[in-house]
Amino acid sequence: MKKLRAVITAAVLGVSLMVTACSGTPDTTNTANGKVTLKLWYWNSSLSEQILSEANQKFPNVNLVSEKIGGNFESKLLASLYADAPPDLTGINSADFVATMVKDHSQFLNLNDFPEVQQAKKDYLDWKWNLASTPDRKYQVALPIDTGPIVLYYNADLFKKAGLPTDPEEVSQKLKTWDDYMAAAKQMKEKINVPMFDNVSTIFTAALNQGNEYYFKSDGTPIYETNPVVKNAWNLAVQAHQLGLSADIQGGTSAWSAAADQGGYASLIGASWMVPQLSQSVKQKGVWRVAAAPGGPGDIGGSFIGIPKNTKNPEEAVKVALWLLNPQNELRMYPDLGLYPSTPSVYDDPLMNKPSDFFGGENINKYLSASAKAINIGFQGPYDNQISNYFKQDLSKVALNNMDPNQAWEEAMKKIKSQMQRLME
Amino acid sequence: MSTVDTKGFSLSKVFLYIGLLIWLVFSVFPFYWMIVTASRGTSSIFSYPPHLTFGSDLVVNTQHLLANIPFFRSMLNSVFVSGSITLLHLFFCSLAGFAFAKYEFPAKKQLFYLMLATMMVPGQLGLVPSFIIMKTFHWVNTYYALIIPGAASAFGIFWLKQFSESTIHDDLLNAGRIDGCGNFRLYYHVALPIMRPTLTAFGIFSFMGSWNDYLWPLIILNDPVRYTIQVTLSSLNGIYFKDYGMVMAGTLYATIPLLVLFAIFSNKLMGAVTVGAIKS
Amino acid sequence: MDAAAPTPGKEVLNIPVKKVRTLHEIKKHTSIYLFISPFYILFLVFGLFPILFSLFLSLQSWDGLDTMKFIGFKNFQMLLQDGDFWQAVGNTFTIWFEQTIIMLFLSLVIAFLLNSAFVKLRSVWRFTYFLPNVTSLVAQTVLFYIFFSPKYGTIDYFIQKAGVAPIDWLNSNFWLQISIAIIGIWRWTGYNALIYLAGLQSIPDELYEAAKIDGATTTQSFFRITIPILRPIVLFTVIMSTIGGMQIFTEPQILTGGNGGPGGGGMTMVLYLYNQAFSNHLFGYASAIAWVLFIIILIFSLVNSLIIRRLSSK
Repeated sequence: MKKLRAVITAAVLGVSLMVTACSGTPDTTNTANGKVTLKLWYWNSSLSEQILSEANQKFPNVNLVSEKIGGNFESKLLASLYADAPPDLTGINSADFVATMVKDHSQFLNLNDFPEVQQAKKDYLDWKWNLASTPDRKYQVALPIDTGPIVLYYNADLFKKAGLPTDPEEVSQKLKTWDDYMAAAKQMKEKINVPMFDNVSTIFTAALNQGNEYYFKSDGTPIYETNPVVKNAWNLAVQAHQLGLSADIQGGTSAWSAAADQGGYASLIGASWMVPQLSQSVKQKGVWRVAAAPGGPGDIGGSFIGIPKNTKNPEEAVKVALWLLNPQNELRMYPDLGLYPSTPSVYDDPLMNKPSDFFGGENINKYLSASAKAINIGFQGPYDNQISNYFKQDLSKVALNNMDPNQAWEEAMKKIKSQMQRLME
Repeated sequence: MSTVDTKGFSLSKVFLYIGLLIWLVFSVFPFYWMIVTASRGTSSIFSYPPHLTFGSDLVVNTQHLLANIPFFRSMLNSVFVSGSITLLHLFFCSLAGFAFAKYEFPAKKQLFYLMLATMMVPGQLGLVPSFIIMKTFHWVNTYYALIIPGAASAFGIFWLKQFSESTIHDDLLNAGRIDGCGNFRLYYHVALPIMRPTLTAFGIFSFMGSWNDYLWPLIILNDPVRYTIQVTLSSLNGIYFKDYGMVMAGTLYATIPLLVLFAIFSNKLMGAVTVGAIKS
Repeated sequence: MDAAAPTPGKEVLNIPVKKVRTLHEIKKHTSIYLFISPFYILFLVFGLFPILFSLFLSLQSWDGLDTMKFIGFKNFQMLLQDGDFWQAVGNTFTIWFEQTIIMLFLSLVIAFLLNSAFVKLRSVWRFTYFLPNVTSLVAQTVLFYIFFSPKYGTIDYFIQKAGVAPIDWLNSNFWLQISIAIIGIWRWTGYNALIYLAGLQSIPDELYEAAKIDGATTTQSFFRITIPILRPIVLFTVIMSTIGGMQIFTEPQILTGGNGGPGGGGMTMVLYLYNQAFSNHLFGYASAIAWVLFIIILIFSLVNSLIIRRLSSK
C-alpha cells in the first residue's frame, strides 16, 4: 500500500516536472557553436535524402534539419502558419496548393528580393517558375522542385494482344488525339475485354491540364461552368465510363498497384512519379512502355520550396534552397525518385536518358522531356484544387454509383458554387 | 445459471463451439495477417491471390521503417504522453470519484449530472477554437496541449465513483476521522489503498485510450520529432508512393506494446471494464 | 456520513437561515469542492469555452491568416443549404446505426454462448475476444484498408473463392459505410460481449431455481429475469457507442484518404468539420458546422436519454 502511494505521489510530481521541462519550445535557431539551424519540411519522396544530408557538408555554417511530414501535408503547413511556428523552409506540393500559397504570399519571403534568386531564374522552366509568383510577377513565393509533364504509360503485352501497336513511336503516332485513344480503348475491350483506363479521374485530370485555361481567368473571373476545356475533360471521362473502358480503380491505393500488377488496365496518362509506382510490380518488368500522351502535353503537378517569412536566417535559407534545387541536384532526383527536373538544361544529360529496365530498355525521357518543353500552362487559382475535387467526386459517382452524368454535372456545379460562396464570403 | 440446457445434446454443443470459433477467427485473423504482411515485400502484399504465410522481409521492412521515420522516438513520445495523461487522470479522477461517492455536499447532485452531461458533448466540436486557445497559450506543438486537457474525465470520475461507493466502507472513513484525518488524508490513506486494483485496471484503460488518440495530436503536433506513434503511423503513407511492407511493419510494432500490456493485465482490465458497466 | 444537503425551495420564509446554512455547508466542504474542481476547471477551459468561442467564430469569415470579418448568420444560412454537410450527418448516423445494431446483436449472442455451463476454457475465449480492443485504431484501420481493397483485396479474394461476386468495398457508399462499421464491430463486439457476460453471471442461480419452482418455463424466466437485469447494461453500452459513433473520424479519414470516398459515403460529421477547417481554411464556416452538430447531437442525446428513461422505468 505504501508503495502505491509513493508511486502516485512521485508520479504526480514527476509529471508536473516533465511537462514543464518538455513543453517550452527551446529556440534552436542559433546553436552555441555558431551554426545556424534551418528546419526544412518535406514529405516522403519529395526531395532526395542523400542531397539533403550533403547540404550540411556544403554549408558548414548551417545545420539543416530535414523533417518528413506525413498525413495531410497542406493541413500541417497551414496549421504551423496559423500558429506562427512554421519551418524555415517548406515543400509546397502541387501546382494547386502553390496557388493557395501565392494568395497567402504575405506568409512567405519574397524571393525576388534576393539577387541570387533573380540570377537563378533563367535555369528553370518559365511556366513552372511563374506558378509560384503573384500574377504581377512581383512576389516570388517559392522555388521549383520538380514538374509533372504527362506521358502515356501502357502495357505493351495487352496492346499487342488487342492488335494495337506496341512500339512507343508507333503508339505516339497512332494515339495522337483523345478520339484515337478512345477508339483504341474500344478495340481493347472488344478484343481482349481489358479496360484501357485505370479510372475516370485520370482522364479528367489529364484532359483538363492539356488545356491552357481551367477554372478561372487570370483576373479571377470564374469560368469553370463554361470553359470548354473543363466540359471536354468531363465528357471524355463520362464517355470512357459509358463505354465500359475504365477499370474504376482509384489511384494511390493498394488496389491500383495490384491491378497494375495483374494487368487490370492497359494504360494511363500520368507524370514521371508513376515510374516508381509502376515499377513496384516485379511481374510486369519489361512489359510497360511510355509514349506521348494522346491529346498533347500537360503538367499535372510537381512541387516547390518556399521560405516562410518567420525564418530568422533568410539569407542562409535562400542559399540552401537554391543549392538543393540547382540543376545538378534536380538531375539526381530523377533516377532515384522519379522527380522530373524543372531545369531544362539537364534534359539532355546522359543520366536522364539511360534506358530503363522496367520499360524494356526504352529511354522514357524522350517523351517526358518533349512534354515538359511543350507545356503551355494556364492560370491556376487558389481554389482549383477544391474545385477539381468536386468534379472528381461527382465523376466517381457517375462511374461507381451509376449516377446520371447530367445530374452529376449539375450537382458538381451546385456544390462548387456554394463552396465558392463560402470561400469568397 | 445457463440459458442453454446443460444436459443438452452434443449437437447444440457443436453449434455453440462453431459460433465461438467463428468469432475467434474473426478476432484473431487481422493480427495474424498483420504479421504476414509485415514480413513480406510490398509487391507481394498486393499480389493476387494474397499470400497467407509468413515471408522473409521483416528485417528489410524494419530497416526501411527506421530509415524513414523516427519510430522509437515516436514510441517514447507516446509512452510519455500517455503515461503522463494516465497518472494525472488516475489522480484527479480517483480524488473526484471518492468525493462524489463518500461525501454529501450542496449541489452534489447537480454537479454530478452536469458532469455526466458533458460526456455527451463531443470534444471534437471545439476543434477550431481549441486550436486557437492552444495558440494563445503557445501550446501548439507542445505536449501541454495533449496532456492537460486530458487530465480528468467525466467517464473516469463516474467509473471510480461507482467503484468507491460499494468498496470503501463508511466505518473505515469514520475511524480515520476519529484519528483526526482531514479529507485529503482520508483519500490518501484510506480510499486510495482500497481503490488500488481498480486504479491499475483503469490506468491501463486510460493509457490505451490516450495511446490511440489521433485527431488532436494530428492537429497539435507539427514537429515530426514530437509526433506520437499514431501520427507517425499515418504519416508513413507517402504522397506518390506507398511501401506497404514498411507500413505494416510499423503498424505491427505499434501494436505490440499494447498487446504486451494487455497480456500482463488482461484479467484486471477485463474485470474493470465489466465492473464499470454493471455497477452503473 | 454528513447530513444530507438541505433540500432547496419550499420554505420561502426561511430563506436567510437557509442561505446561511448552505454557505456553512459549502465552507465545511471546501476541500471536497477542491477534490472535484479539476474536472470542472478543465471542462470550462477546454470544453465549454471553445464551444462558446465557436459561436463567436461562426459569425465571422476567417481563413486563420487574414483578419476576421463579421458576416452575421451567413455561415449558418449557407450551412443549411450545404448538401455535403447533410450527407455527412446522414452518413454518421447510418454508420452509427449499422455498427451499433450488429455489434449489440453479436455481443449478446456471444455472451449467451460463453455463459453456457459446459463451455470450457472460458478465460481463453474472453482473452481473445477482448484482443481487438487493445490494438491501435490507426494501425487497425490501415490493416483493414488493405483487407477491403476492392477486387484484389484479401476479403474479396475469399469472397470470390466462395463463388460470390467481389464487393466494391471502398467505392460504393453503402459498402464503404459497412466497411467503417465493420472496423467498429471488430473492435467493440468482444468488449461488449464481456460486459454482457458479466451481467449474465451476476444473476444468482437461485433466482432461476425459484422461478422454476414457481412453474416458470425457460422462456418465461428469460423474459422475466434475464432481460430486465441485462437491460440497463445494454443501455449503458448503447450510450457509450453513441458517444463514440457521433465522433467517428479515424476510420473514414484513413480508409478514404480524407475525402469521404468516391460517393462521399464515408464523409462523417467530424471529418467534414476537420476538412473545412484545416484543409479549406474556412474557420468561420467550420465553427458554424460545429454549432449545428452540437445542436443535432444535443437533440439526439435528449431523445436517447428519454427513451432510456422510459425503458429503464419499465
